[in-house]
Amino acid sequence: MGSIDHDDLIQILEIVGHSDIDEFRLELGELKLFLKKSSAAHADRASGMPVPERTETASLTERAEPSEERTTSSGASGEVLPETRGEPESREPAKVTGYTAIKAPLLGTFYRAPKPGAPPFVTEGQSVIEDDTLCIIEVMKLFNTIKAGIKGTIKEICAEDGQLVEFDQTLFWVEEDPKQELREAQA
Amino acid sequence: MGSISRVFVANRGEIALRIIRACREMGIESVLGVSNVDKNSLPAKMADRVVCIGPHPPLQSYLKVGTLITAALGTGADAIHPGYGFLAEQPELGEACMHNGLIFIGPKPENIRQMGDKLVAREMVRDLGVPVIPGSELVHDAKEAGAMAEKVGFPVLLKAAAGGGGKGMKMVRNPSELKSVFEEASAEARAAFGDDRIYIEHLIANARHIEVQILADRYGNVIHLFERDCSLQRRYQKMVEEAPSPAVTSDMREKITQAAVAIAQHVNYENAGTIEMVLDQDQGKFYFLEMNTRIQVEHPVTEMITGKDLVKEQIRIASGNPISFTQEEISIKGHAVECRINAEKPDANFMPHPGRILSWTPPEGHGIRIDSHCYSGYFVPPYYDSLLAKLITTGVNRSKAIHRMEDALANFDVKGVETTIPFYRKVMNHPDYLNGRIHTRWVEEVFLNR
Repeated sequence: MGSIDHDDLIQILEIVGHSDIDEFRLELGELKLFLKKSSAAHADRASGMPVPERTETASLTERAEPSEERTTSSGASGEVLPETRGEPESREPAKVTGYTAIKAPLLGTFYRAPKPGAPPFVTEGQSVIEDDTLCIIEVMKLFNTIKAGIKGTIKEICAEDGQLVEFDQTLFWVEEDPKQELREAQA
Repeated sequence: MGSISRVFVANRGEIALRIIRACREMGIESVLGVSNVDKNSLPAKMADRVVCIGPHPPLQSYLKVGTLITAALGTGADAIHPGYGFLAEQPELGEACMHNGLIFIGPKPENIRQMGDKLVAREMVRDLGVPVIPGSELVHDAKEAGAMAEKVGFPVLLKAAAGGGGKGMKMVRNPSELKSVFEEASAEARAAFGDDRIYIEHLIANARHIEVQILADRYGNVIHLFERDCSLQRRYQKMVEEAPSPAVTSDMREKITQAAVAIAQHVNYENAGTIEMVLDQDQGKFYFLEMNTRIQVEHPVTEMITGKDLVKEQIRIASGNPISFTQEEISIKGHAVECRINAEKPDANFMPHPGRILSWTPPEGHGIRIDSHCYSGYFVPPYYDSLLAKLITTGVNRSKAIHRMEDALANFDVKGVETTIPFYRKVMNHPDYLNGRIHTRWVEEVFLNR
């Protein structure tokens, strides 16, 4: 066994997620995997380590190269972050654990409504389900519809209508429905 | 077209930094588009504004025309500088700029298109009376290639019409290997460039790579900034460049620079460009190779001997200004040598060696210039080219410049990643190099075949 692929990682995340383990470390040759649950992650806040807003945090580095990023799951369901010691991301506003960031999958112009003057897709405080459209990101007349991907409540809209949003910029903070999380974990 | 007040830099690494610095000196704001792994790079720290254009694969960030245009418009830029590589020689970026009211800091799309097709460029140049290498014609199949190869004489080079910059070339030494190499070459050309047209050239054994830097504005002014010698290559990739060339006589210089100016004038060229030539050292003849429609990696050696800033000149020309000096106002002052310091293991067939630079201590002093985006602690990502720095030294003459290079290389300390510095130290001490007795396959013959 020399390496871990995408499916293996998902399985590890699930097993650790269901267990009582707070921290999990795995080293296979040059590959290092470090998982920490949110209860344990709280302790790291004081030390200045960036902690993502998910119940499970996975950090996967290969060949001990900190910038090697591996996205193991799409959108909002579980984030994989590189080990960014020394240069923490300062852009993201600090948020209470339990909120999920919906991030821009591409750079473009952010639109909250299907057309000018129309009511917005969503407003703060509104409940959404996976298939609900949250916004549109336009790149050169190509309109990309961004769906919620999760069930929950929109807590904050972080981008302005008609403005440029960058790749990976947080657009929405969503408070997830706990039942939804359970269902996801069982899937 | 009006003046430029904010430039969107559509590149990364040392050339992004080079463009940002030029903008600063001109009082122009810079916006840098970065992939997510370049967010903390030195150019990102230097730019007035940074936007993340996508994830690290170039196809999802640095090569996305629509994204770059959207980012430039969304950040209020009025021009885009493409640097070299990535989209620099894709006419689509210039066209998209035109359609969106942005200035492309580079040649017109039709210039890029004309010169991008190496076969079209060759025919046009030949019609101007500039010599091209014997054999250069389109061949449709292995049989036709065989007949052409016999005519021009083995060994020959099979070249992709859509190639260039040393890519898409294959050597054939004798008729028996022609069929298989032809099929390989056209399959590779199709995969790499989406165009499987192949042409044949006689391989010049004792060749030097000489190129002429030109500048052209929209008022019909075309001037040359003399030649660079880029003969020290490994697998057609340049490693050491210098200006002027030790192999070019003043008579030859007159001929090649006039040919370069004539080519640029003929196509109504605009902005900076380079006419690449092959010098057959046995015959004392030069031939047109290709034209590069961008700023080149090795432009600093020209800047060092002429005292002119080529990137600033590019921006001035793109703003609609005439070239800020005349042919008569420039001359060759001294000599300049450049080594491309790459994150590669010279002893392991120059295998790329990305990773964390633990310490970065470049040489300093009179006559030393370093164009680099590296610093202690910088992580060299494995997704892009391995160029760490361009080390340029100058001197009143060639031997003084080389001597200074030797010293600079000895005092260039990099820890954490392996670099090509030890290799260049050997080159700078080699009698062949010191005496100017090299050719384009010298590195392979002297260093790699043992």
